Amino acid sequence: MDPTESDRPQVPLKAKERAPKERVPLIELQVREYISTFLWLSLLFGLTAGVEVPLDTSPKAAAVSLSKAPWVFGSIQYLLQRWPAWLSGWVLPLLSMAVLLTLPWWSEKLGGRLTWIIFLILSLVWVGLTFLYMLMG
Amino acid sequence: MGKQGNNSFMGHIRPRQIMTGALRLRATFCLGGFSFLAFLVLTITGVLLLFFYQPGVEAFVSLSELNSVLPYGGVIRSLHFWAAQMMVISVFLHMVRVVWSKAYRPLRELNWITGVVLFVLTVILDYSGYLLRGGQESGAAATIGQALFTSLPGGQALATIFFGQPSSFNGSTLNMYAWHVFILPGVLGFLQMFHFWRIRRDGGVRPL
Repeated sequence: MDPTESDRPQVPLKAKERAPKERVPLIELQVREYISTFLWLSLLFGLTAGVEVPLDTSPKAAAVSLSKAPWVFGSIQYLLQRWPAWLSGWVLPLLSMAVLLTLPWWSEKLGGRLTWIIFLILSLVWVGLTFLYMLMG
Repeated sequence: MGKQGNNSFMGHIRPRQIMTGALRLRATFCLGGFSFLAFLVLTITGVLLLFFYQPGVEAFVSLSELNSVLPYGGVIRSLHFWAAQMMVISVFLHMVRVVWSKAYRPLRELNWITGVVLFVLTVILDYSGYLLRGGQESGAAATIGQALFTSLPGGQALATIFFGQPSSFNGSTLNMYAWHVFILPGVLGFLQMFHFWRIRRDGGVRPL
């Protein structure tokens, strides 16, 4: 081997150019983790500085007629305003959760593509209802 | 710490070398890591809020004082709020990514179930935090939750355990405080550690 060859600094290959099973030192991942952490914290501080979080209406103030839920339960609240409590508050959320929990078995029975479609429909319905609640109340 | 071999917990979570495939952004989109980062921010800001916040009838007053009088109180409260919302969104998007990349299939089904439980716990934590705001909105949200519990057979006892005795003007109670500050985050933290350990054990890319 040419002795000068080993002295030459090795240019690291980009991740895409390497075989996916090739092993690399952890530091390469840590650098990416630090950059993502910085970006995520920037977004968090940006939201904190830019969007004020309001307080609730004081309990000692004149009573305001409210039927309110945090946005994470907006979808359930939207259904509760229209359908019976047992259906919109228990049956539909628990059924959806049961489908989510059994997704690996659905995949075995129906295949990955159909399972993805089931998951997508379920997600879009709940996310859609959340947006409906937030926009229409 | 001693030698971080593959048998130690840290060596398992943070091995000295990793597969190149784990470096690709598309492998995880960092969403699991973002969720954990949010949990860390929530823990730190939550502990700081504990020094001033008082549950129960004083909840709203202590929160408005914290927000407007205490130096940086409003900033800490805002950080806590936004980190919570970002955690709910990133956990959900993480689930979408897992289903898209078919990472829920056997032999990883146990970790998928753990992930779904983590998502549900995150949503419940967000709800319990909303009730601790102690105003009329939180009272209304507590009333709805209570009504849902009491509609079940034997639900009155469950409602009392979870909600305590909230009024329609104030959802903050000692029970809700205990759930939000100790029980739910404790279970969530433990399950997260289990989740991370299982990801490595099932041969997935290490979490970002």
